[in-house]
Amino acid sequence: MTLLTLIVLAPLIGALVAGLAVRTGPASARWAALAATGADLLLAFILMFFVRESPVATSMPWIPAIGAAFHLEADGLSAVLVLLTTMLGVVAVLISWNEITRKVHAYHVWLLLLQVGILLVFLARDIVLFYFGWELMLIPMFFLIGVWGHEDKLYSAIKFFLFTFTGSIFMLVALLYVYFQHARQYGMYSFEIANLLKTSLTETEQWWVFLGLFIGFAVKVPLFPLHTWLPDAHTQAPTAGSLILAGLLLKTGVYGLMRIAMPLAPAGATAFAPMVITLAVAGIFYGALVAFSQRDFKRLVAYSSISHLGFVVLGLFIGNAAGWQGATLQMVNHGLATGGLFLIAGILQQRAHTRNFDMYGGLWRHAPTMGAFLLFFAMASLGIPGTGNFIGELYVIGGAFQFKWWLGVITAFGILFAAAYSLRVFIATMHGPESPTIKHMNDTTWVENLAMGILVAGLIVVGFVPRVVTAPLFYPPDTMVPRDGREPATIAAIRPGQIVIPSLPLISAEPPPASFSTPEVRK
Amino acid sequence: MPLIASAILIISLPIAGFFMEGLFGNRLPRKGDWLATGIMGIVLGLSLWVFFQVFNVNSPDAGARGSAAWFSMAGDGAYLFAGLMIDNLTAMMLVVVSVVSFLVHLYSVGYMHGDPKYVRYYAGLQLFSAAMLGLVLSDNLLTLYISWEIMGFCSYLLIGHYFEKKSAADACLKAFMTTRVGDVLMFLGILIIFWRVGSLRYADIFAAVASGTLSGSWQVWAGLLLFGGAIGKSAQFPLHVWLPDAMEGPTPVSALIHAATMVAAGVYLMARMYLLLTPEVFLSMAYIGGFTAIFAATIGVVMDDIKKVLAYSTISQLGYMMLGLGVGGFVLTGYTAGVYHLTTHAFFKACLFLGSGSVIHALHTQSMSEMGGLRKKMPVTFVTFLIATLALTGMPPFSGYFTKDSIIASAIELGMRQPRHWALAGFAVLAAFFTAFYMFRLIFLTFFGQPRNHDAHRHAHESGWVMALPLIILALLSIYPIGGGHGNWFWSRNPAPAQESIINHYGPKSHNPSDMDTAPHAKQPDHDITTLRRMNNPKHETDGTQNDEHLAHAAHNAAVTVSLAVLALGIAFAWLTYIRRAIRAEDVARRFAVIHRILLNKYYIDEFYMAFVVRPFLKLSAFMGGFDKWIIDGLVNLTGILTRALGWLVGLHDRVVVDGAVNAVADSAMAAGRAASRLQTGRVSNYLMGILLGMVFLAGFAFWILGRTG
Repeated sequence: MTLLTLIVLAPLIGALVAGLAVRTGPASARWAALAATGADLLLAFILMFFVRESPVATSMPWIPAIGAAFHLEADGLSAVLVLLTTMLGVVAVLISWNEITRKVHAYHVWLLLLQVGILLVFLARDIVLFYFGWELMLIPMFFLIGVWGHEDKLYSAIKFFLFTFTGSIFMLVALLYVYFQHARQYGMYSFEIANLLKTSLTETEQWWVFLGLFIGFAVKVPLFPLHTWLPDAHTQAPTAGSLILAGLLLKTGVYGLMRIAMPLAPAGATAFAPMVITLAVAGIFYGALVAFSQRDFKRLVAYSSISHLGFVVLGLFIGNAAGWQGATLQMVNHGLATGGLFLIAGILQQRAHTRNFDMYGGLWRHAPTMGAFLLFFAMASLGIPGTGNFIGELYVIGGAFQFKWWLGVITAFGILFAAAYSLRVFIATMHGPESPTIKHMNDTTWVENLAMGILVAGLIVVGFVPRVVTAPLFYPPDTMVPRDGREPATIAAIRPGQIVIPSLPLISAEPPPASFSTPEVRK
Repeated sequence: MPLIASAILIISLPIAGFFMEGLFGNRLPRKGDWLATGIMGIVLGLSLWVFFQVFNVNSPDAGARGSAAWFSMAGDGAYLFAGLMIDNLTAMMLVVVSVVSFLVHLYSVGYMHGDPKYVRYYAGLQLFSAAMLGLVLSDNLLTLYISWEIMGFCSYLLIGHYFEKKSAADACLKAFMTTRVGDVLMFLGILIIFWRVGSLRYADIFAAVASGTLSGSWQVWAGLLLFGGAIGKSAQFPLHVWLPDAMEGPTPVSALIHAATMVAAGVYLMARMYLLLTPEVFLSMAYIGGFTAIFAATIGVVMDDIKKVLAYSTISQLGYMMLGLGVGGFVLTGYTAGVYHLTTHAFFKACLFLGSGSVIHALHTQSMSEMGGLRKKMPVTFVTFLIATLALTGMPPFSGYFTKDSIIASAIELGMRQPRHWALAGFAVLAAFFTAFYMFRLIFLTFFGQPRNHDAHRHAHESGWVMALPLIILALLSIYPIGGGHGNWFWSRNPAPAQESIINHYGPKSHNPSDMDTAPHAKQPDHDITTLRRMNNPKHETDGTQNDEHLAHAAHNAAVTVSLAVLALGIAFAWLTYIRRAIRAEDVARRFAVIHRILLNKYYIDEFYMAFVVRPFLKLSAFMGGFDKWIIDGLVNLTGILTRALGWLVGLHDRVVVDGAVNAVADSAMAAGRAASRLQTGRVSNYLMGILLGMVFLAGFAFWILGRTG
């Protein structure tokens, strides 16, 4: 199947075109990038359609000497994340349309290469390829922050690079260990994830392997207390950079946990689960509390990401179906909602040249559309029903509750904290007396509206039809979602979308039934 | 048209209105106010149609239910349903909501005229109406919770309508956060129910309760946590603090959201989940409700802002409703009384708020110390306001009399049965006294006496018909034959199907004997609620004996006597103080300075929250922010500095001692550094040096482990 190759190639071709067109005006790079990401989005939709029956795969030998292959494969989870990636890719190009005026071609080359790296991570089924994509994400991001970022860009870019790079070394060591063990046991060298999964590891080995992988992925997630690179990188990155950092790069860490760390070392994952859950819950509250104290719009949103990602990791490690689906849902929702908040932050910064809340206020009067968008994203971030975040939180907290009731109780209060910082974002910028900074501020342009509109649409779709995210997890081969906890209920299985319209006996004139264990259905 | 179709229409029309207003409100004629009002008019028509189809129809086919599998948390099976249902309680609530919402839409055409955020306002009203109607039409806790939250959002939006004012911005934040505390509790209650029952549909939940699937402490906690949600939404003590501040919103919003409908949603929730509740929950409801009733009423006595008085009155009346429902767990009339008080209160309190809006609109002040003598200037407002006040204070034959009296009677009956719960009756009666006093204080200060602000008074005038008509309609609905009272169709049948048996026993008989004969199965006590009640609550069993009826009669007579007495007393005190000036309010305030100050400061609850919740939160947040900045980031930066120092040392070591291999490493690091030195830094190379060393170390470590295990 060449579809996957095309999906990876499309942004690469776009990058080539944008790079070669360096002598023409900036519009050429923008249009090339838009065309490439748009085509990619289309392909991702097609992929969603194909993975319903069976995973889509493409494989060819790459470096036979070490057993590395160019193996791409998409199951439901990969397809969902690829769709998210390509969606945010389009949004990133749109939001950069007016913002980036310096070195436009180089910018778009990096942006598209970044997308290639992310797509490789989500699609690769070969460790070498995966690692290649993993490191490929770093370099474009490093330059996006370092060249097009804001005042502290160098410090942030280097910090970002060092943290994730260091983390990935731990990951590499663990993966190499499994690789050699596999070779020892099976007499052949292979980097195929499917093969590596067959390696039998003792519990101690799994413990160490999981630790290595976990450090690598947790830095990327980032899990408290490894988060410190994130606020700086988010804050200093250009708008599209923040969008992709929050929306996608963090998800690669979670995806690594889901796809590699937990299947490769299940005993290790079980052993670490209490610690990880503790860190995740601590992160939920820590992120929210620190977020609330921030004065910088982007820093606030960055810390809120730590809180949201705490929900995601929590969902993964409670190990039941609800939590797992919730984690996936929250990945998507966080990408869309936090991405939206970053867009607004970028739009505001571009107009007012500050991110400081103290300089804003009373903006809603001037910019009703921007205000409506910000209100929507803030509400989504605090989990208002109607947006995907509500469903995601319902799943995660529900799963936590099913796992241990007190854990559900603790995490439920996380949504209270989320309300505090989300409303602060909105009130500090839009409410209150009018600030002089924003006296002559324009409302959003149609390109910006389009970019944000895509995110809004995504959030609403997930909010009303969560199946678009959860159902793919159950596409064959259906090995992702944990089995236990599938049957919490006594109610018989009902197919989705099934409509039940019984006429209910409301005022019964007859003596009541002896037991009313099932609701009476008349007619 | 099938009922379920009209239910879908009832929800989707205002949603459509919201999108029309929100997306192109500015391009609609008159910014779409008549469109929104018209939509609510249609909804009102549909609601009335549904009402007459369903309400009080003694047939198994009356009502409707429909639901669709929505999503499943467990993967396969155990789908959560989104669904609608119509039964007596829903039909009644539909009418209440759509009547008030329609009238508020109409009223706002006049009140909000010329407001710069007119479109946003109407969009908010439409979305709110949709959510509230969705709430009452839900057949499950999930969609109920969703509507509940969306209402909270609309409330936030509309309280903050004048967001340029800091007080309004603060108020909407406070409202949202305070109610969200309750929402979290409710969310947890819903989760308990979901994991115990496997479904959130009411019917499944009640079935699980009956079959014992949901029982014991889980059931108690589920009930208590749901009540937690109701405490937040219905502004019960101790989460009542948001409601007075919510008066920052436009007055029609206060009438719709913060008096008639949204705040009553908590009461509705408890009424809806009645079969789930256990005696523990009933008692909590009764005591919290009763305490809230008296507590808020005392604050209402000293408030100067006309809307604040009404806000505290709302809190107090919501307390009454909770009290009624809570007592209803032991005394059968309580449930009916609580639910009907919700209905009658919605009409007369909406009337009071809209009336106060009319006054505010005319005088441009909310302070009663600047009012006075408006009786002649604003006759329509005055008369309707007076009718609503009489209804609120419980003067026969106005609607409030019947419902409030019935609550007091239930509380007294409980006191007679179980003397240790006499305090509840005490709360109810005392609160009635304060209610009479503060409401007539309001009337006397506003409409009687001499104008205290002549400028404002001179320009005061009666409002136009769009504002007067809603007042008149609501006032009419507050009068005996229409809005409530026994003997008419509104009172004759209990709202909840499960409650049928209660009314068979008590409702019609103790209030209106003639109805007894028409109720076909009046003598069949063992409907589901009664059996369930016995199961839950064997001690307080009521079996409909002669003795019980006597008790109910006695309680009712006592309630009528006492409540009329305290009403007269309250009015008399208000009259003596504010008309005859026989009692000087200032003297009383001075004599009881401590109490006066406590009341003026609303028992210092806000200060308490400020000191023990808000400030600690802010401090903790700031501390954590500092911790993150200085400790966690600091550690990282320290590591960076140390690495640089180490890199320098290693570099020195290289230059002085070793060359060859190490030099190559250093060179490659330098090369990487040069690659990045377009970014003008020399530090990268040093960092990379440290990383390379780390890599060598880790690789060695890995091979060591490999060697050891292999």
